[in-house]
Amino acid sequence: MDRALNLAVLAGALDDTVNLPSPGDLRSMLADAEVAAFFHQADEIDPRLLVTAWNLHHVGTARPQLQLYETSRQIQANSVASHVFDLALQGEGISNNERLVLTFAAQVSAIRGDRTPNASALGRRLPTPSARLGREPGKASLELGCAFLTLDRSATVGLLRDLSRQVQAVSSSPDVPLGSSGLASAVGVVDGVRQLQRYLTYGAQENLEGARQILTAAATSTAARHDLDSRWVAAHLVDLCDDLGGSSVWSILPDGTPPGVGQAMTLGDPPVMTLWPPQVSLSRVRRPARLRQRCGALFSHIQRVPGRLSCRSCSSHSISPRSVPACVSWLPATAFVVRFGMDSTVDSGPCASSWRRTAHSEILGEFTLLWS
Amino acid sequence: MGAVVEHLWACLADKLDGGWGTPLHVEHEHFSVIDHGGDGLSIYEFTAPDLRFRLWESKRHDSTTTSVTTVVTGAAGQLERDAPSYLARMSKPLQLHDDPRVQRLAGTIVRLWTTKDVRSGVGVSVGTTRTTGLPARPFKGLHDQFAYLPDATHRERLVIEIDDLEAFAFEVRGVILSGIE
Repeated sequence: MDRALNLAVLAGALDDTVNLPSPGDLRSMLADAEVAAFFHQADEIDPRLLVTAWNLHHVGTARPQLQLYETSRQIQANSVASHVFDLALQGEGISNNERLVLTFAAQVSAIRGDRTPNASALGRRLPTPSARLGREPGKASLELGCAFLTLDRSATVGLLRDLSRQVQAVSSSPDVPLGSSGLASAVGVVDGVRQLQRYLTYGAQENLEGARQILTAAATSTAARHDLDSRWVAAHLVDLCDDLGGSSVWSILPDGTPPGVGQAMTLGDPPVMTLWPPQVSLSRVRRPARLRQRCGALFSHIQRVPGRLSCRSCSSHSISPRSVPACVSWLPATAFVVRFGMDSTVDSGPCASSWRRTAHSEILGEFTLLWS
Repeated sequence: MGAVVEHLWACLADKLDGGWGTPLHVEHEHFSVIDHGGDGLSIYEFTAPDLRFRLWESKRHDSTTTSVTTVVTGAAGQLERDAPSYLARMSKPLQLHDDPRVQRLAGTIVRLWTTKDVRSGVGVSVGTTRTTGLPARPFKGLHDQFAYLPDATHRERLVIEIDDLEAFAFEVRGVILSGIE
């Protein structure tokens, strides 16, 4: 909340836009909304806050390729927009459909405002998906979009299976091809998310490029031009292809890392599909060639450790190697190693001593030099 | 009946010249989980290289107790209230449009609306049954709501009169059902 009420952030997001509140007024309105939400005093937030949020969401999520706004302003705008949408979602007076639209908008702004974990939290508050694609294509797209941006692999894969069955059922009817029907955009969202999910899980670049093409076609479909929700979801996912391409586990693993290492994260429980920008940037510190070589050794070692590890810096209880990806989701791979070394926290299990020796001798010396 | 009226506007929208020439691009007949049709967006080359846009609201008038003036005033209020949300969502796919000018307009459209830029405009379309005459100033509510806009070309007004709107809508429904069955 501190950052959300920071005047400098609010001023950066608003950028003196005429007819929007001043940073001070916005902070006051946000504080009121926070208090009302805490005490469950309001069914709906101040409409001026929502108007501001849609403005900031629009600025923040404008295509970077258009070069209309500074990157720093887009991040600040997204950060504030996501927070306001989140506050709006605390109200009990909004319908489930409004909840879906606001959640998707909040998730997109959270991810593009460097607040990816918030997107996951927002998505987990939604009710179970229920839309039938043939009757409610827009709602089906929104539900799938929200599930995907929650970065909950098992929930997304389950919903994809269900929707794929529905697409099969609809396409088996003797009508026009789905690609030239009013369902074209919704079907494109299903196919595009499937490709994106495969990319995040297995790291194949052709899946990322396939997703980009399918989602672009879905967003610009003339046959389904009336399906505003599906086109909106598809257009945002097109842009997120670039973001996910830079923040996926696969994009930060050193060259030559065995695929099983990435899959240990993406198929783990809970899965780690993307890394937070600070985590990504930490993994790209100075002297990348030497670091990558050392990190490669570490990642290989994580994969091979058969015993149990204890990680006090991440949690106070023992964790199995299967849970190591959960730690990586909190800390970047590099910081993960640094923490282990600095706190000497790898201290139990049959393989812990050899793991610690490896970490110290092969990795920590490198990081001590870099971070001292 | 609402869908029929919206479709009537959509059929005419590409050819409407409300002072800015015919549109370069029209987005119409949208269905969303939170707004069920009635919204539309026309984009014009009137001040090229900058483009202009007009946000539309399409309504039916089918009551003997409510005037066209009341329907228009309600539509104007709806335009003002829902514009940022609608424009933010509608403009996202338009940022992938083939025309780079449309892409740029789509990337700034909510800001143009919020700052009451002269490149923004509104339009209200009402479908009704032909009667002996319309009220004296049926679009007064539109003018009052958007009085800040510079001139009448920024506030386009359209009344679509059908001899018997209800019967026409019923006939359209029958044709659609015969196609499905």
